[in-house]
Amino acid sequence: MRKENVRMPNELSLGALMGAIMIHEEKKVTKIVEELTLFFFSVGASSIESRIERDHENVVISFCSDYHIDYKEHLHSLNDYLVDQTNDGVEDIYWELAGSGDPGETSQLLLVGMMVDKAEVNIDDKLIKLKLYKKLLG
Amino acid sequence: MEKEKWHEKATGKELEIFSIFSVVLMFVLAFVLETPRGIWEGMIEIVISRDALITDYFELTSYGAAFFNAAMVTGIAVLILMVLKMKFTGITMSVIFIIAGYSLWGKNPVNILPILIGTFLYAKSHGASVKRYIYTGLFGTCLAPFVTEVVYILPFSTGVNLLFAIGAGILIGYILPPLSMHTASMHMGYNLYNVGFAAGVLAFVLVCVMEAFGIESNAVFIWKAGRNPIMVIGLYIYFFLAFLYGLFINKGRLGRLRKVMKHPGRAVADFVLMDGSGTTLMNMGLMGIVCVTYIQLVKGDFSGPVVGAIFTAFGFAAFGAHLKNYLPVLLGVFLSTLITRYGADTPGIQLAACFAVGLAPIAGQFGIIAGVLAGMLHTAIVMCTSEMYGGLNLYNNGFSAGWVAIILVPSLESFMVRYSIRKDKIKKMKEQKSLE
Repeated sequence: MRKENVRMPNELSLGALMGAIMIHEEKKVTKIVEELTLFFFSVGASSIESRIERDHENVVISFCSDYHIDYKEHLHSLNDYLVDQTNDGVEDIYWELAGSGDPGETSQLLLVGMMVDKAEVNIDDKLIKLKLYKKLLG
Repeated sequence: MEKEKWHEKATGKELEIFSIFSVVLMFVLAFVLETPRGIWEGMIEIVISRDALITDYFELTSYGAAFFNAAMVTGIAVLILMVLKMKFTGITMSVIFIIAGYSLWGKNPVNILPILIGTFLYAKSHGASVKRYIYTGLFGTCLAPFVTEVVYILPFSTGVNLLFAIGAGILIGYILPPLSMHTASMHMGYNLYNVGFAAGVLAFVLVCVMEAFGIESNAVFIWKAGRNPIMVIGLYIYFFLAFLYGLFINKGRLGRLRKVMKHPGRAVADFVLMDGSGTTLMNMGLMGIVCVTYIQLVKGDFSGPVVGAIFTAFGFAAFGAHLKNYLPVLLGVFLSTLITRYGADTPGIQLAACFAVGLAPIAGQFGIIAGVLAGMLHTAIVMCTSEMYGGLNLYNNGFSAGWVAIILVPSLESFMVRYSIRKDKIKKMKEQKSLE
């Protein structure tokens, strides 16, 4: 499921330029968190926990949220749009749109799916647990 | 057994197969319509002529040469995408068919190369894979006429002008990736032609700089009038084949089309990832058929630009547009011809009608009236914007659509917020009354 050897940084490209790119990469992570927070609000969440763990260029974004039972049928979109949707060509054109739409908008959720390298979704009767893996450029 | 094996191999590669089929079809069509000598001479004419808006290759050369050029340019795009091992999704189809369309009026295998090299250099200098920026580069070839124009309008020798032209193309390809990243948030994804909008902004700036040095570029108008029946029938057959191929992939199930129509279409609505390649191809086929029928009904011309615009609508039916969100915008364009000085058969308006597909997400998100408004506003703006950059941005409609979205969407959003607050209040009052 996880794509290996993608987005390898070029060792020759360093300095201020890389710093600027890294800022973009970090902003992308915050946009992902923003979009998913909106999604959880859209399914009636009353408690949302998010966590970002960073180890050099590897980032893991975790979410744990409850949901309202009335919206259970909406949850399948997490699997549909986040898992196995990595698309290298789209991220750098559209990442600023993540978190900008209406809560739960499917196209923005798909954008998050395109921006991450791997997604794990676990849904039980009360909670949704989400783990997203992303390798940062630069 | 043999058939099953073929089907297994093709699964997941349907869009690649369809894209290659389209390129081969254009090559075949070129040699059916024109002699090899005619194609050769036509290609030379296409490469050395100015390409500013509107230069119709059907009129400049011949149908055969124009289709050969389209096959070459589209073939290069498909080859690059395959070599890079890009996943063929909705955005891939939109970029392939916008390139196919514009290769009938402005792009050729020579003038697109410096822009692609520029994008390649941008990726390399940022230590990133070219895969990340290849769509921007391919969409960015809309500024290819700028490359050709520099050869003609600079006051130096041809050799020096050529060097400047290559440099300008590389610069464009280098600037577009970061620029298009920020323009997306300006129109919030409600203009499907994001790179077209970014390219329009860049072209405007470049043309202003050139004018500061006394170098001016003027728009041209080379246009093939008339409705060649072979072209019309050919387009209908091609779009019908796309629909049938989609239906075949979906094993005869038509119902999934309804699911596509539920998406508002705002970027990034990649229908291939959301609903599968079969459903997407059916949607593309339908959009193509509707566009051809509209041009027939308004007694338009099946010129290179119009056929190109139809191909663009066909491609973007994989990336945000479907009949439900496109028809209100198309209606808006048509209605505006009843109250303005433009006729439905005015060349620029024929193009606006097909390219209005870029504003389809506005109708998808805010409803039919908003879509009609967007179409009407687009008609007015698109007729002014070309002059801003001397016809050097091929995606003039993309630039115009960007302004429409920037102006219209905030008002629509605030209206919708107020509307939903009022709706909630009324709902709560009714609930309270029923409790009492």
